[in-house]
Amino acid sequence: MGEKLANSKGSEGLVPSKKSRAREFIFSQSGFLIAFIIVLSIAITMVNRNFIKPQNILNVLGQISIAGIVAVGVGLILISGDFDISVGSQISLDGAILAILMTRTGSVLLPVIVMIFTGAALGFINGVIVAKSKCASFIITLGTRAAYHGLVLVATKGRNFPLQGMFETLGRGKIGFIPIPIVIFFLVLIFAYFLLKYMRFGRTLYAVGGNRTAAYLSGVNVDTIKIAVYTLCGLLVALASMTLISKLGASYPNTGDGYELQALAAVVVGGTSLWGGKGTALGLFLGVVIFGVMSNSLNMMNVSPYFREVFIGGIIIVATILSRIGELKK
Amino acid sequence: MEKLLDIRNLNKGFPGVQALSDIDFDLYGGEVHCLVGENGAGKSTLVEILAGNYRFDSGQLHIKADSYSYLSPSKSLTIGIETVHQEDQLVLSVTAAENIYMGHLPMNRLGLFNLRKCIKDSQVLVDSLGLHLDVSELVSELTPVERKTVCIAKALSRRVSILILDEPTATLGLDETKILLDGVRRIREQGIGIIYISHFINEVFDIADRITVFKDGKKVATHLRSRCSKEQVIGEMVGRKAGHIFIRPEHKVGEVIFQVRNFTRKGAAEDINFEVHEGEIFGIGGLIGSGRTELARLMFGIDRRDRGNIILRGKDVTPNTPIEAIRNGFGYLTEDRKETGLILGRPVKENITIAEMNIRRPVLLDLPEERNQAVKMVNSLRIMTPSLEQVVINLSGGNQQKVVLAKWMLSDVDVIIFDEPTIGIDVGAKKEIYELIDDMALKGKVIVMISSDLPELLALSDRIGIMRKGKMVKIIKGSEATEESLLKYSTGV
Repeated sequence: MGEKLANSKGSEGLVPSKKSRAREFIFSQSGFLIAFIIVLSIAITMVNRNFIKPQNILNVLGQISIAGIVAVGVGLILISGDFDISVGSQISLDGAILAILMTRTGSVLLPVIVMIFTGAALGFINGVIVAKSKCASFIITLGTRAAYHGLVLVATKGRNFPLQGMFETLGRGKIGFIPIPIVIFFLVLIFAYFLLKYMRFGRTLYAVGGNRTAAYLSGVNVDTIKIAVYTLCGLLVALASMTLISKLGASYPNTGDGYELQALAAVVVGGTSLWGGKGTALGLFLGVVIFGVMSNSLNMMNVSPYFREVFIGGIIIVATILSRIGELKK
Repeated sequence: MEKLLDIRNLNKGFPGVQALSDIDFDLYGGEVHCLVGENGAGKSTLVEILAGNYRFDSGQLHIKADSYSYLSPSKSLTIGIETVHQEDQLVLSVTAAENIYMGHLPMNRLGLFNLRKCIKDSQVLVDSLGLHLDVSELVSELTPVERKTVCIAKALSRRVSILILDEPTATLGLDETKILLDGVRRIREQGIGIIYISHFINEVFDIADRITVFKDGKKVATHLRSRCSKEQVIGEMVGRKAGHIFIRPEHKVGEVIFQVRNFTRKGAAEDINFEVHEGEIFGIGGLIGSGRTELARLMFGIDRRDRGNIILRGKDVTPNTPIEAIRNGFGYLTEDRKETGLILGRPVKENITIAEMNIRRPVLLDLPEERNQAVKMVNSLRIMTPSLEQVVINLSGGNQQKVVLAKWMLSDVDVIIFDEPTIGIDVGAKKEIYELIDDMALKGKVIVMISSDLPELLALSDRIGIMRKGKMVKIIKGSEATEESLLKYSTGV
């Protein structure tokens, strides 16, 4: 950090110069992640030249964009010091409601609106329980994960709902040569960046995650913040679900399975602290990219897709241990 | 009687402090040797050395016939030293009997836990202390004095020759204290040597055979109880020059601007009434656990009060939550800045602006303005930090405390409650914080300052309210108070 000692005469010493900020960035976690992505890409390219082709890069981004949107929601909750592992079930439930309403009504707009409200409501429920009960959010959302998944089965009776060509643009369309899901992912990232940096809400998330009591005693309404961040996550999940259903062209009872782990893996790799109070939008993005590049490389190296889960589990464990070591060093 | 413990010229230093210097202390079997002194006098350090948690730097330690260069926790236990800490170390969810034999539970021939024997043996042990207590009850169901008894019985369940009781009555009422002291006398009759630490002078004179006074890490004197007076002992505990690092300049005291009326939360603080005049600093003294922090929490709306209100310049500003308190112009520097004052992993800037941001920035932050504000606070409070982006965990204690202070100064509160404003801070930073507090009082802020540091309390306060067992027992003028009088009222001599 700063090489100059405090200079109590003016602001020059207190506000880091561009140069020292650049140096700081290179040695920060994000700098490290970028370096890691570059090294990884070079290594994979040496094994398989196709990796670096623009088509494959778009391919990678396309594959990760939906999980990426979810990861932003989960990441914001993690910054505030809590977990949400019900997001996979939320995707399925949001999707089921969308598909059922579309097939019943034949229209698009109303189902989409209903679904957005559903998404917000599911997050809101998580938030209220977590905030008011003050219980471990991991367990609470483990409960709602099961409950939401059960509701999917109740609503669909286990059936699939194909959309028969309706509502394809969102998931399969392109703007120029860029698939729309990628565009949405980047918009969500820009939103997260803005929220965390320029909005009181974002700043408060760090405070609550960093020290809940101190934040409360400084006038932060901790419960409201918790409920709001879960609701926001629910909205982002609804957006992801919408995109996913559109891309798949159908809703399945298990559409969202596994997304909670993918999102969590990406978030943790991106340097968001599991203990709250730390994390950035850039980190979230880089985490998602690393996750995507690694799974893409498994494909490129013809590793059996059955290994995917093993790989995700491994990433979560390794990233958590690494960040724990970093934490202990401090 | 046999001499159990003989300590000579014992020294123990920590970075920046000499906690014990050239301490002599001894203990015979069958006596109660009381150890008294203010907070920070070195009592706890001695206890920790005997319990095997600290090593001493130099000196001799003889226990019975043997000499030791250090003690480890397990060695200390083998020798027969048992410590009952101020905080009960019990498992609430199991019976008293199991707590008493925790770690060496009686087993039957099959190597299984023998609950019946455990209950029988521990009942004998508790009865021998003269207490009526059913040891098959869960600890969570027991009263404070019963819990303390369990702690003592637990110590006695091992072969013990030296028993250390660290403030055993801090959380007990008068009647309960009597019961406990009777128990202690019975233990003494068994020939065990007891080191008894307490702030309560009456109680010390009730139980002690000998009394040793510590001050600032040095032994002042050892007396036979029958050969000394309470006044003498209190005089030896204090006697430091008040205001040796800071003297509050002459200042005008105006009208009453702040009133606390009938503030009550049962069991924490009861019927508290006081007023603060413009320009005044109102100090709150008393022992730890006397209800000072509880009162501060009530005033800031953290805990729910049963009744009472606060009037500021004619307006009722009684808060029900901290958020309301801040809106009504209150600030609160907690006694533990790391746990409850700061967000340690976040930058200086964010910690300074957090309260202000919550009042004045509903949605968007104004980053350049925020930076200007933070720079202004850092400069005017002379916070030593390499940059605004430095995470506060890396700052020194004094600078951390200034960051907390900056938070409340920036949000321009009218009332600031300080709870131990200079705890764990070096002398230089202390002086600067005193100047800031003085300056705020002169600017018409209401200052309520809780402190265990008697010279600090005397040097800053215009008037001092003294708390004892949840009540404000006396309000005295700072100019008329002495450390002796403060201690007398705090301990109820």
